[in-house]
Amino acid sequence: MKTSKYILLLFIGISLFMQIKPAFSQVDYTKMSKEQVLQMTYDELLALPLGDLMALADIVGVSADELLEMILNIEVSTASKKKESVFNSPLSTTVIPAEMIEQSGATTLEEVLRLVPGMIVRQKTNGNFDVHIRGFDNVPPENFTHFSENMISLVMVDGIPVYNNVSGGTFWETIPVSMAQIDRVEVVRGPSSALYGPNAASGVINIITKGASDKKINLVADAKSGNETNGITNLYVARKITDKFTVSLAGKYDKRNRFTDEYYSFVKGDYMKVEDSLIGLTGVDYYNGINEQSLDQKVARDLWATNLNLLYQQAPDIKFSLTGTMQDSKIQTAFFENLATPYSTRTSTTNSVNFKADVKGLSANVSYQFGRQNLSEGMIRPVIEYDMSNLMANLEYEIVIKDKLSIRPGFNYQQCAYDDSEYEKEYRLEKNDPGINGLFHGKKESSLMAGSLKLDYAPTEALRFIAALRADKYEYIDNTKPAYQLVASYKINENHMVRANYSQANRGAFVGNVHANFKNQILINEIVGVIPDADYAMFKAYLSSNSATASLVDLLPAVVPVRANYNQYYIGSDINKKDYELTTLNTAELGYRGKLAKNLQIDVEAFHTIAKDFDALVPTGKNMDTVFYTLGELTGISSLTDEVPLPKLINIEDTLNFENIKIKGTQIGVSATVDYVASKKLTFRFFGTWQQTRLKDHITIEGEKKDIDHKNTPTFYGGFNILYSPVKEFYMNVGSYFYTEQTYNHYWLISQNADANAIQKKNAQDIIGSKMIVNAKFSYMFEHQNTVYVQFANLLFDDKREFAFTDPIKTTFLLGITFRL
Amino acid sequence: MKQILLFALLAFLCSHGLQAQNEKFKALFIYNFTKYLDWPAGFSQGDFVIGILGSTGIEEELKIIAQKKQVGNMTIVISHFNTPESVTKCHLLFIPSSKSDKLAAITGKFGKTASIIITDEQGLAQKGSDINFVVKEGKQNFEINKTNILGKGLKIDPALLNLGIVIQ
Repeated sequence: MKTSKYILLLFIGISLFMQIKPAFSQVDYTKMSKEQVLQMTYDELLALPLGDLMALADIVGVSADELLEMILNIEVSTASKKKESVFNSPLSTTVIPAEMIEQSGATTLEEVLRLVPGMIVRQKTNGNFDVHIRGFDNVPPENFTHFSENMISLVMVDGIPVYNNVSGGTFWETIPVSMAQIDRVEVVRGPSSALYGPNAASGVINIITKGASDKKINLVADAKSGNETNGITNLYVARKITDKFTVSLAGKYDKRNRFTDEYYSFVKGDYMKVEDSLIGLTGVDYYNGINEQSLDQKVARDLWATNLNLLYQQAPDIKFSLTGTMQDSKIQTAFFENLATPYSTRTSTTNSVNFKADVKGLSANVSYQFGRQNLSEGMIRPVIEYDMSNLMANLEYEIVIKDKLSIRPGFNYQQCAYDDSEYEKEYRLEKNDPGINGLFHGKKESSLMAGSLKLDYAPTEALRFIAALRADKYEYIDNTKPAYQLVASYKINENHMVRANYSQANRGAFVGNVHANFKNQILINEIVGVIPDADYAMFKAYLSSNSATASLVDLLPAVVPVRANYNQYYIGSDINKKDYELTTLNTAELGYRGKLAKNLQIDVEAFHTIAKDFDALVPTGKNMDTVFYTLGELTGISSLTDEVPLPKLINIEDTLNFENIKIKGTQIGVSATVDYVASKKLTFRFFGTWQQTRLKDHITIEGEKKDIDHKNTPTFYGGFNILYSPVKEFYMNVGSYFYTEQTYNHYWLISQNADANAIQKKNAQDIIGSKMIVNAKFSYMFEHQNTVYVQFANLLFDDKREFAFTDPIKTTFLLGITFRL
Repeated sequence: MKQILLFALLAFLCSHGLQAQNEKFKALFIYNFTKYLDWPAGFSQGDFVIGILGSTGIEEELKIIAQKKQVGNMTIVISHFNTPESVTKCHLLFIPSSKSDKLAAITGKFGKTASIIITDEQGLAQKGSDINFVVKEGKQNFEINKTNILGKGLKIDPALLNLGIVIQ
């Protein structure tokens, strides 16, 4: 009995062991279904070791709300100079992380901005864009093309400004950052000069590059090619030499063709082949002979850039970074116009050295940029090629008091120099023309000193106030320019947050504004036409009708040339610089951010902006006098000195004054972003901005003062992005950017016929039709994290141009491959 | 506009949002960390205190675990704190992402005492957190700051270092 009892117990024991074994000991947790994991009890889970729990967590996956946090509420540092979740940002902020950039198929920084609400991004030529935050573009209207550039937003790379000091705009192609090295792009809409300095009038775009990584080697190498794109490559490699020391190298190459080989001709009012479009008004030749070599008609962009970074992170709050950059770029776009065409080829060869130190609360950086630039390659008059240098130093210190109040005083110094004397000399020799002038006509310098103070106070967990003040003292302007920002945010609970912001910000005073003064000798006694047949016939008939002069008719030449001197004077603000007022924006803004569900987040902002003190090149006068032929000059009989009514030489003196324009812009608008994480496999983003801008006291070409709707900025613009990734190896991203119709107004001198006397002002409009640009990318991960992909831009085959007088934008496809380590 | 609304509608219709299982797993992870860490004398008697700063769903999950499990012979006690000032002695302190900005105040307060700080936001292991939950390549993982933890006088089972991402 006893034996049988033990046998029975042994049997039961073995049976139990057999039952238990598959449940706990030999289960391959990686092969369980999600449903099986979700059915497991707490006791079962608590019995598992950590490694198995991690495997089960993978099966369950990251939850939708956590995805929302990962995708949307990543860390941002631009908004208030403090690292925080985007959800807690007290300003209107959007962050586009590297993953989203890659998934969208963006090939340029500007295309990344098409994923951001409040951004107006229009392609001028293949890969070259016009970028604005909320608008105020081309104010006042009827201005020159380069004034339509965005000169009121601040673009930075890792907190260091990259604007050009000629006008304060951004030459995007010169930013020496590889797409592969971008960690995220942060955009703050609304004036922020108090926090960041000049030009942050309509907002700030901060491109943040990758820092130290956990990995020993971090490599991203991407190459793509397609129609009208010879090749785009981006590289980033970072090597962790020791735990504290990381070296990274990044580079890019980008070569694309234009979608057309025609140029817009101001004279003809249409797109023409190079030989017809580059002849300016009154026949002026800007390009040293018009032929197919005058401009490389096909090239849209051809550039490379590289940068090397040494990062030493001694402790979490002590790090030093040294970066060297080089770039060489050539793009063809509508920028520096002449009397022939709005197109110009911009070339830049620039370098920079940046040093940054963050030690506890102290943050310091020194940056020195230098190089050469030509704003219109191939154009002879005026010379706009120069050497430049720009030194920037910034020092800030953050003092935190009882975790509730932080005080951040700062000091900033900038000094830039532009010198075109060598190029002026070179062009004069080449053309044997001592009258050729450069834009700066020598070496010109400008400096800026600024002090700032930021107070960030959180009296309770939910409530936060920020006050920031900055004063800029420009070398050439009398008054110190103040900028301020008052921000309040209240976090109702974990899911709802409201914010309010009132701020004033200004653009900077740039060398092109305060120093450009030159005389542009466009024509020097050059033949611009002949006496029209009808006039000449009438003159001959007059001579024939008089018996004393009838015999002279036979001595007259067959055709009579008309010559012209044409001097264009560009009067910069050197003359009245002390009164020069910088464009200033005042914005009041209310915002709400809410997690309406675990997987649904909304961000809404309403803004009201008043902008004043714009500037423009104002045509202040066209003096014209005519010297007439004498009868002797026409007949060869020197004793006949009487003037006849046939023009021999037309002297034109055209003056353009750089002036403040007392026009006032008022803008109201609303932006909204909705993010919806349907599942781990499917995410959506929708965003849009509606705005209306009125201009008060606009003086039209006809000299009439009136209030107008500013239609250069689209009334509605936005986009959506849908990411579908059914399995981890594959994703499909469909994105769109759209805008409504805009009207671009431009002033130029126009001649109805070849007669210089008929030169008149004209307001020419270009209506840019509404457009919906749909892009798609299909990506497959074939090994490790290496991917192959195909991407399409402008899938609706809408070839309309997106910017006035520029290229049609056609559909493109790119095939690419990305390697990662 | 119609297309956009249609997309939005479609998105809502096909919604099958995942439940927040991550809180449960994070709570389980936290409990499991105790198996791989050895606290110095002075922390090995009395209750085993897991502190929570601010509100998070993980607290409820930890309370369930506290009813079921012990750490060695010690009873698990879950303590809730609203502010860094109110935080008292803990074996583990969890700082949810909504309170990440309080990390500096907590590290300042704890100094080298054997209280392990667990956070839940990318990059915090480099800023003084001892263990930090991160999502790597879509998977829940954790960073472990070995130097910090050893500096506080705890011992770490090498198995934990193998499972997590070690930050020196």
